[in-house]
Amino acid sequence: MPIPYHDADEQNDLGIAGYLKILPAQDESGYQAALFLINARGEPIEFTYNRIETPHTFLWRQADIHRHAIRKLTTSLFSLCPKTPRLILCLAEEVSSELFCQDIQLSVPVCRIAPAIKALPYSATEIQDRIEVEEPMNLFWYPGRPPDDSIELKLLHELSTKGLLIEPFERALIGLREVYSD
Amino acid sequence: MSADALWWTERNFENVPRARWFGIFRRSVKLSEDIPQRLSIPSAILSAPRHVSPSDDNALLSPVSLMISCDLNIPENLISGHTQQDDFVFGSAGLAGILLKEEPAGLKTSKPSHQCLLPQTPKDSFHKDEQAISLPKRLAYLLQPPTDVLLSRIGPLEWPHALFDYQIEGIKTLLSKDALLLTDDMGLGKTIQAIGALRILFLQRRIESCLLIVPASLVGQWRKEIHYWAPELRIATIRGITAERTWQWATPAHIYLTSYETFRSDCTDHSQSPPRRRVWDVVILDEAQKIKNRDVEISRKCKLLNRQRAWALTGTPLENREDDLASILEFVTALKDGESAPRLKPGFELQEIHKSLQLRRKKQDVLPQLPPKIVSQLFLSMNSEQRKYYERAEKEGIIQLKESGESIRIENILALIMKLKQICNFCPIDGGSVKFDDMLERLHILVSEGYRALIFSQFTDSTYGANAIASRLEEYNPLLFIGDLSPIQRDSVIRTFKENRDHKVLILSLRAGGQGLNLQDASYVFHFDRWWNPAVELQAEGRAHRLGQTFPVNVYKYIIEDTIEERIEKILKEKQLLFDDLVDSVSIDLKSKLSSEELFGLFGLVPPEHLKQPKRRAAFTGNYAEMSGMEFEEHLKQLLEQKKWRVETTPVIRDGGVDLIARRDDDIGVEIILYIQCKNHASPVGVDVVRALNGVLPKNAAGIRGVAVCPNGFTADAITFAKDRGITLWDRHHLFELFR
Repeated sequence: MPIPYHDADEQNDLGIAGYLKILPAQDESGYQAALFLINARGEPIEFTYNRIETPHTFLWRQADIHRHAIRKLTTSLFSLCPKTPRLILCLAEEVSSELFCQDIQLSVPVCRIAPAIKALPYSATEIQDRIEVEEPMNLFWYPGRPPDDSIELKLLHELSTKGLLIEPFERALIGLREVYSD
Repeated sequence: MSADALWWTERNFENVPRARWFGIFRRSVKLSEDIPQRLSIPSAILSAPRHVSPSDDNALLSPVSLMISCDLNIPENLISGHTQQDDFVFGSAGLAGILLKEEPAGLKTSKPSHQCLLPQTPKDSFHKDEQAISLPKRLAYLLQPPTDVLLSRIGPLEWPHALFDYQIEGIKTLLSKDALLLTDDMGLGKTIQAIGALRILFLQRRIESCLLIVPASLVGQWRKEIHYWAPELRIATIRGITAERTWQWATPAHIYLTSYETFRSDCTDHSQSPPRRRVWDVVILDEAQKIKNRDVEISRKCKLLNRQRAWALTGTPLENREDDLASILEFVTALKDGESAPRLKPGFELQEIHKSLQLRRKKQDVLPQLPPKIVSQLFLSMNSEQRKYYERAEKEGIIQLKESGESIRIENILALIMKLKQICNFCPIDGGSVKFDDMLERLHILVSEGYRALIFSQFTDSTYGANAIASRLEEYNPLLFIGDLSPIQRDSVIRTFKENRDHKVLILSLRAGGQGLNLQDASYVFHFDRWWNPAVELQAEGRAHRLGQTFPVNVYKYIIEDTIEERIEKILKEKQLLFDDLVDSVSIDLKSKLSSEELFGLFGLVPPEHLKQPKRRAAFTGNYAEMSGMEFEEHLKQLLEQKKWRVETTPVIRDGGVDLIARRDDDIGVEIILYIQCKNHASPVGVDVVRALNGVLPKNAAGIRGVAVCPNGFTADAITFAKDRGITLWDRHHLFELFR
């Protein structure tokens, strides 16, 4: 007998969400990233991870290197991911708007998440939205906010009502630390 | 980019940072990138092929069909995913390693222990050291939803009810400890906590097998509770003849559930006896006081089990019994193969170990969290003698019914039901009673904790009813409150129970003791047999659960499995007649609740033509607002007479008194009398009216109920007052349901 999650069949239809977690390496030698796929029940499906080293010289602007490194990391993760998520979620303080507005084009919506209390820049091409979970959160959608009756938004709603809007990023962080801890 | 990656495309390739060095040349940045790694985490599946569980989800077919099913379906059955059949028998943690495809084939990895899951362990490579846990396994564990999220009511897991905070704390403690002695007060949900912890451990892949040893009478209860709280877990119930138990032990399952007696038979000194040939991830003993004597066989055998985790559940306070405690604590320890259980002696060290291993909450500790009333249904299995007698009586009864042919009446069916109900209480041959045995164990615990109990029974006689119960509970100085007593005697019994705490138990017949009494001194209520009438049972419980009660009231309702009790319970539940407040009939008249077909169907019979249920007439849709007071009374009188009540109209006296008196005999020939006040008011009736009715009702008169009727309902104060006084209220909806 399958686990009796609420409306199990409907949840299966909602698909999977991809949580992109990026953080600087602890020794500041580069960046680590993970693409953590979970289903609407919060069950882990895939965990793809990689890291990249960046040079510390005056030859290149650090901002450019950062952008380039994040792009390469992200594409390397996407290239290995066998499943297509319904949407990609990332934290606005880790992923700038250029990554998906300019550098990588996705056929699925991207949602950058930030606490409403934080002032973070976003692109004019992103659509701002708001959601109330434990605290108010700003959502920055690209290319646009999915319609209210869309599966993507239903999936997001399902995840947020189950406390799974931010929590999977923490799990992805735990996974990255486990992989790359010395 | 993989061929399937159509959902993403890289753009602006030329945007690679280039250094301009002295304006002469541009050099692109080169970044050193690792090769990305991917871990696929198999879903936590707990699916089972339907054909292994035909009607009862946890029932198993005969060995032959089971083997066929297992050949085809083992890999999909288990949380372990794709496994080889042989791996099952050993249930080793190597199964978990096979989950993850990165592991070399045929690899036997050791059990991931808690200690090994810390980041200090070597990673990213396979180590021959038995304690090493590979990275994929660690990740598969770490990436599971955290416990807090899983336990949350709004989390991804479905819980049939919200867990109390102290229960969540209990579950977390069980999750974090290899060994725990859980000794919460009775009624606080030790079973739920154990099942909740098992559920999460299985989901997080921290365990694969559990052995659960419980008293024989509670096997059915545990199955139901597991099915209710963790329906995804597959249970193998070990019982029956030896040949059946042999394959039951080998059946793939998450939880192996057995009784102490069966376990004692199957666990031998040979290390390959079924319970001993595997290392159990968890072994749980319910009512662990069964092993308090270390010299008895069952105690010794429980301690022989190889186990990663050991939990013991008991409601019996153990602080003052060091010898009992020592024996139980010898079990509450993880034990690997080849190790022997430590021998503990009474003394300071024992006390220290006890403190570190016990989790105990008393009711008063968690009072603010508890609801005012906690109702538990206890499903018990009869012992063999009682079962034999019951089945014989049922068979003979059915034969007699069949022999009656067309002359059979519904009263014959009801008489058989009553007879079987009595046997469910006590076996007339040897007086054995699984209900009584269970109740006695619970009384022992709650009395030792300082609580007192009310016991209700439909019957009063000395073979099946209240007198039989009282005669067996002498150690608790029981008092008896039944219909035979005079009003003076009744008052004396109640006063004695209130004033003298030496009387731990008050036994009441449901009819006599179901209303009008204030018995808040007791905080445990046992329904020894069911009346299948929510209003009557609620009223009985209301003797303890009322204003002035300082403790949550625990109510226990007994149902014997595979008997008429369970069958009727099931039908009434399906018809929503056990919980529906609208059905507030004051009788235990099964005839009014079940159709002829349903009553005869309880015994696999078909009613004769003349007894088949006529089509229901269309419900009354008249407008009460158009009726005068007298017309409304007359209308109600006619409705009651259609239902075989004998109704008299009282003289018109404008003092807010009784308008109708209705009488009828119930199934056991006891007269029920309703004192009815009719108020066809345009707005809800207030508390004054109900108070006035209460004032005119004869006090402490058995079988008399006050009923206030107003199609437009009652105010909240009136409802509260009525509930507290045991007065029934009928509004428009009640009238519709009662008389359709």
